[in-house]
Amino acid sequence: MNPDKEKDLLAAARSGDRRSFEQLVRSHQSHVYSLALRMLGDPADAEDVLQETFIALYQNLGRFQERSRLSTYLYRLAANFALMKLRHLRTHGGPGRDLAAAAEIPDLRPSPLEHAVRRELRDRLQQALLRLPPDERAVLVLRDVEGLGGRETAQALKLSLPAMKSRLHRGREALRRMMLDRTDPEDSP
Amino acid sequence: MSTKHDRAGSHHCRRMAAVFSDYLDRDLREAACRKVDEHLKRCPDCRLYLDTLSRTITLYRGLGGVRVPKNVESRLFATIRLAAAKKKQTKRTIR
Ligand SMILES: [Zn+2]
Repeated sequence: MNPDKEKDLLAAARSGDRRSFEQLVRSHQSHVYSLALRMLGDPADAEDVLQETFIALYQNLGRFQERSRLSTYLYRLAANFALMKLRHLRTHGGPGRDLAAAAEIPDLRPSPLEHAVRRELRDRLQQALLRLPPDERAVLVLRDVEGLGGRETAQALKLSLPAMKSRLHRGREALRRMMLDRTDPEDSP
Repeated sequence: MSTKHDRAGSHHCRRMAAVFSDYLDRDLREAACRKVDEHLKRCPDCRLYLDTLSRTITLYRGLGGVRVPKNVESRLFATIRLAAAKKKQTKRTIR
């Protein structure tokens, strides 16, 4: 969506026009949902984050300053809700829940010919992601999966650029090892 | 299982390994970039390392986004409508 149109929609939404708000939701929802699903590995948890994020936006429309882009703001909200959920799951859900749930990730962009192979690969990539520490996982998903720039990733996660980079390096290195070392998933540090 | 690729992560090349991520993102100053290029010319271990790192990143870039399933979307919009209705109601009661 072009920035001017987005500005207009935001203004209309602020003055109470629900349809404009819904249009904003439509244009950003898949990014929010993707981030949440990659972070959490569970469709039901991802749906919670999706709802929390847009309700938070709705309730903070008046406060959202257009210093940052709406997409960055939404990524920030979503990453926070996802990290909160992970913290909660760690204390209440017990270990291993992530991994068990990863298999449930729906394959929503089927490419008929390579379907099975691609699906297996995606599952492996997703499983590896879920084994990263959450703060590294968040950086990885935004920077490499969602394709945000370095600065935008740092902004969305409220990190300094060097802090973002060091998490990115660590995360990529860990994933690289997991990709090489598929036989012994429990061995890597 | 330890592979040749992992040698770059150990000892003499460890400091190199730390900048490979920036190198791949084209995020290094020219001088630093040249240093890496020089090192890569004479270090096959680091070439392998860089290759595996770059492939890993490419895989994740290709993972791509997920579309919101229809039923999830309709529940989202129902929730938003509920929030909107509540907002109106509280405004009314305040008045
Ligand atoms: Zn080397």
